[in-house]
Amino acid sequence: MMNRDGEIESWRAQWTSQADAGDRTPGELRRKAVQQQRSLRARHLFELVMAIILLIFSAGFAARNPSVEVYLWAAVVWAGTIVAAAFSLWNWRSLWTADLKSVAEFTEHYRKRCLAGIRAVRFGKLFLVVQVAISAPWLTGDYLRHRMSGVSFGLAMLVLAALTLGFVLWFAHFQRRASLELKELNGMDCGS
Amino acid sequence: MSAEEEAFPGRTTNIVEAERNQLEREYEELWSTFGPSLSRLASSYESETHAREDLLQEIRLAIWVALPRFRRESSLRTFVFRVAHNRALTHVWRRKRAGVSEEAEELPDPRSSPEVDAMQRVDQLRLIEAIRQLPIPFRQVLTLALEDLTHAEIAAVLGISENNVAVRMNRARNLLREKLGSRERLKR
Repeated sequence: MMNRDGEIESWRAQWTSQADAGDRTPGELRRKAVQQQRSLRARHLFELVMAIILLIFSAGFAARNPSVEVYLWAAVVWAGTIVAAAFSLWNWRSLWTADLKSVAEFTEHYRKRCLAGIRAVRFGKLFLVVQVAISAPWLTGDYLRHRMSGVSFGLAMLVLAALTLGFVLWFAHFQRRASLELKELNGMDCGS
Repeated sequence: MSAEEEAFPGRTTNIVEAERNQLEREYEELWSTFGPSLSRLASSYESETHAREDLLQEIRLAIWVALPRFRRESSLRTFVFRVAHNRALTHVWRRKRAGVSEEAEELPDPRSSPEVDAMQRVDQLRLIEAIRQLPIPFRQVLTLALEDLTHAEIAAVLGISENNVAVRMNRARNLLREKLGSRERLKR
């Protein structure tokens, strides 16, 4: 079935009279593809290395400064890092590369990515609440037990508040954008 | 290393080299056939020149990577447009995540040619801009139809039924007429 009426033909004539594309040789493309793959692997590796450094640092610090409080801190860091890494792996599992699927399947894939993004924001919010719920009483306890000066306590609380505000604003921005994407994707069902 | 590689290392290298050369020849043929269509496809997703070039580059890469897996179960044209539209969706998704605006750029298109009549060029740019403003499902159907794909081919590219193609096409045309009409009224 073809659309061969005048209107379509006129649009087609205008559409196809756009200028030609430039080109690159396959050799250049292959190099670029390898470069992109390396860059993606490097990013994943960087995240993994950062998590491992955090785990080693916290374990080392706890070993050098043995006390119940430091052990507790190290346990919180380990638990937080492992939970965040596990969630990240679970949330983004099998949500990449789908070149050979139909566009309908790919669109569903795309929608799942949006949902995964929204889930990540929800997890991030929960994680933030837990972190603040641990950090704020901890700092306050140190101050009340005179382990921390008033200035240091004030500065630490200020940094904590600024970080919390920053995360809250970033989460709100990310969630708004992901919701808009989902809205547009749901619009893709129009006419189906 | 496989037994064959161990026994005939030079031969294996030659086979791999020959396969790669064959693939590169196929790719070059493919690009000379579909390059202009894919360039237009990129222009339906991106108005800004650099972003359009990036998208086109991503499409080139996607096709290059996917080509060895093409099993001729569908036509080459269907395969190429499917890969290209999927890549374009990923591109749009990433640009949105990065918070890049999709507003049209007012700069002149560097692909313009001095031979093209000015009025035709204005009409063409209006059409491209109006197409870019269509919701993605309608934009996809319309641009594929403008590339002279049949409804059956469009259905195969998008993974929907021919009836859905017809419905979307009808709505796309109505929307495009409205957009072109409203721009015409704004100009007056």
